Amino acid sequence: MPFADDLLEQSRHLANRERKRPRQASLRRAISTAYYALFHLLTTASVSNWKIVRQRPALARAFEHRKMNSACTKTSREQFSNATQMSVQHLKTVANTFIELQQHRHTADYDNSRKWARTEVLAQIDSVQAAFDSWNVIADEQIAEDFLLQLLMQR
Amino acid sequence: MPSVQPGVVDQAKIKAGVKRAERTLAPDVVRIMYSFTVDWTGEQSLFFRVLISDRASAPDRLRETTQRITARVLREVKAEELGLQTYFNFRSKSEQETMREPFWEKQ
Repeated sequence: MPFADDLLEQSRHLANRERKRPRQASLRRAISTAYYALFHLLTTASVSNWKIVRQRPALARAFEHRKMNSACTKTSREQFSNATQMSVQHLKTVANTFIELQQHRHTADYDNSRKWARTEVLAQIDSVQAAFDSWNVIADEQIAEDFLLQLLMQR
Repeated sequence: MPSVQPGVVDQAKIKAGVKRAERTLAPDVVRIMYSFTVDWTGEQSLFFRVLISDRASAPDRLRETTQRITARVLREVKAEELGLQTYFNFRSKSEQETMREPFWEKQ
């Protein structure tokens, strides 16, 4: 997923942009960009299962942040019996990271009273990298395919 | 999705779990603070603020450090039984000394 990978790289670039005293603008945009890296990783993976390529961009716009949150919360609490423990752990890492980053993105984008330190931001970016790594392990498994459908269909 | 009120949660157990985690994770962890508040979806949630040593926050250690701390804290407070969404923030000791935010000084 080149676009998602590029966003993740860009978030790290923003977090490290100022060598000594990071600007809040850089740190807040870094958090937001890290969230969108994970968002695009998942939505792109999901629409890639749609056969008609020209319709994929339209389908990608159907994803809603709140519904994706609900799907991730459900996944986080679900007991799976159709996958290995390792695969379930990887999937839950992805789901939990999505929930966590969505909250931090919301704070970074809308709460002007909140001050960020570079370590806080790098820790979140690292967790998104870990979620990317987990996703790459399970992307072709049924448990991951079902999760992608949930992200779109969850009520 | 169930919404858990803070009054329903055994806060003494959470406090004890956090203290245990703090002791076990020292010296990488300097202090663990937490607060109950709703997240952006309106769900009651538990927000942790973890102050870590400068050594533990080095870029080449940060991922391992934060994963280990998060796992330990969640285990000690028995997060799955709480039914609360949890969130973590990590800040280094020297960053807090520079920023001097009261929210990061005490519970």
